[in-house]
Amino acid sequence: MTQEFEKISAMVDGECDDVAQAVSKIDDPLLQQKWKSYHLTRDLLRNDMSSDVKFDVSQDIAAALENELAIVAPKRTWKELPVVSAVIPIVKQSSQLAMVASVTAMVIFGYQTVNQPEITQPFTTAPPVIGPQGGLSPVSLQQSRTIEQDRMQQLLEQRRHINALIEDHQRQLKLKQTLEKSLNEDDTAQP
Amino acid sequence: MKQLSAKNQHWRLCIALVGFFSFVFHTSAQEISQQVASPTQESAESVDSQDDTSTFNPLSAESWMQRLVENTQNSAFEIIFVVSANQRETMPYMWRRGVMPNQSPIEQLSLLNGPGFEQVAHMGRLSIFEPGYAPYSVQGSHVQGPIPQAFIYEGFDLSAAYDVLLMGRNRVSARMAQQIRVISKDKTRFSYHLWLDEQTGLLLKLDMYDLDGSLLEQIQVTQLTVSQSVNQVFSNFSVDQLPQVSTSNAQSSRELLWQAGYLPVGMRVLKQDVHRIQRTGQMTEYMLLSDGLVDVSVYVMNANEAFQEDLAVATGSHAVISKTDGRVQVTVVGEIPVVTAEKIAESIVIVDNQDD
Repeated sequence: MTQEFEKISAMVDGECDDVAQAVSKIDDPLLQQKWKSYHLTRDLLRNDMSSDVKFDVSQDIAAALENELAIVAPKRTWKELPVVSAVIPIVKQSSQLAMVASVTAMVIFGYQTVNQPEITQPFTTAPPVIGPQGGLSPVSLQQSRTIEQDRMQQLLEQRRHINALIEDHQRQLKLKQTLEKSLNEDDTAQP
Repeated sequence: MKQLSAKNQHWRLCIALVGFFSFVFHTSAQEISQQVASPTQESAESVDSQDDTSTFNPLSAESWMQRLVENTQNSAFEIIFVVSANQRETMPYMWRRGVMPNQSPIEQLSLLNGPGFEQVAHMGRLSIFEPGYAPYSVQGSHVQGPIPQAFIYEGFDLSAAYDVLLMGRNRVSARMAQQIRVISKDKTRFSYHLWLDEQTGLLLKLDMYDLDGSLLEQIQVTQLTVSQSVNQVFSNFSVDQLPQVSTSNAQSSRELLWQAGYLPVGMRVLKQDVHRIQRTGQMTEYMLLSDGLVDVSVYVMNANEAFQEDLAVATGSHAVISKTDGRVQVTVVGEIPVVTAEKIAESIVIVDNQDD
C-alpha cells in the first residue's frame, strides 16, 4: 500500500508517465482520499489555498461523540451547604491575607536590615584621619624642610620670630572686628 | 435580601478570621512601616515649623547657611564641641549664647582644658581672658573661636570666593543633619564640610580638608542645648566689671608702596598699616587679606639674622612662608595651603626701596 501512496504522490507531482496505471487507480476510495489530501498539502505548502476547499470533518466528529464518556453529576457534599460554601473561600482568602502580611513583614524587615548601616553611617568623602595626638601646644612647628643641625641657635631664633608672627597674625584677626566696625559705621548701630 | 444578610454574617466571620490569622503580622508590619516613615515625616514637620523666614528653601545650600546664621543669632543655646587635628591635642570648648536680663545679647566661649581662655562678647565689646595676660577688651560683637566667623555670623559674604553645595542628609551627634560643602572657586584654599542640624539649624560638625582631600581639622559638637534656661547662667554675670576697650582704633592705616600681584579669587585687601610686632619689637609693614572666610597676613620687613633663607612651615592648618632677598623679607601667615601662601609671597611687587 505504501508503494501505491508513493505512486499517487509522484502523480500529484506530475512525475508519473504511466497513464494507464494511473487511470486504473481512480476507483480505489482510499487512494482517492490520498490524492485529495496530497493536493491539499501541496497547495498549503505553496500558499495558494483556494478558499472554497471544504474539509469533511463531520465523520470524525460523529465518531468522537460516539466514543465520549457519559457525564455523571457529582454528589452534593457538606461543603455545599449554604453557610459553609460561603465561608470556605473566606477562610482561604484570610489565609492568603495572612500569607501576604507575613511576606510584607519579611520584606520590610529585610529592607530595614539591608539598609540600616547605610542610614546610620555619616557620609564622608575622605577617610577618617585621627592620627597620633601628642600633647603639643597649639602653636607648635612642624618643619617641612630640613635644616642643618649645627645652626641650632639660628633655628631657635627663627622659631621665635615665626611664633611672634603667628601671634601677631592672630592679634590682627582679633582687631579685625574693630576694623570692620569702623569701615561700616551703619552696622554698629545694631547691637 | 436573605442572601445579603447571610453575606453580612460571612463578612463578620471573615473579619474575625482575618484578625485571628494576621493580627500579629499586620500590627508588626504597620509598626515597622510607621517607623520607616517617621523620620521623613518628622523632618518635614521640623523644616516646616522652622520656616520662619518664609524664603527658606531646604534644597538650597545658601538657605541652609542663611538659616545657620539667623538661628545662631536668635536662639539661646549652650554647645560643647571638641576640636581635633593631626599633631595636636583635642581641645574641648563650651560656647554659650543668650540674653542678659535687659535683653541685650551676650556670648561666651571657654576652653575647657588646662588654664584655658575665656571670651565674653557683650554690647559690641569683646573681653578676652588669657593666661599670661591681663584681661583686656577689644571692639567686637562676637567671640572668636575655632569655628570660622563667616559661617555663623552676619556680615560675611562668601559668594565671591566660595561655592556652597548641598550634599545630603546624615546623622551627626544622634540628630539628622544636612551636609554642606564649601569649596573655593579656584581650588587654592581649604575646603569645608558642614553638618547642620535639621531641627535647630545650628552647626553640628565642621571638617576642614586640604587640597588633597585629607582631613586637617575637625570640629564636632558633643552636646547641644537650645533653651532659654541658658539665660539664667548669664544673669549671674556682672558685665559692668568687664575690662574697658583698651585699644582704640588708633592704628593709622597707611598706603604701602608694595602690593600683592597675585590674590586668590575673591580675596581682597582689608587693611594696610605699619606696626610693631609685640614679641620681637620689630617694625613691619603689614597687609591683611581676606576672602570673608580666611584671613591672610602679609609682613614685609627688614631681613634679619633669623631668616637668611626661604622658609615654609605648616603648623596644623596655618602656613608660614618666608621669602627673602637678603635685604627685605616677605612673610605670609594664614590658614591657607602652603602652595597658595607661596604664590602670594612670590607675587609681592616692591614699588620703591622701603627700608623702614
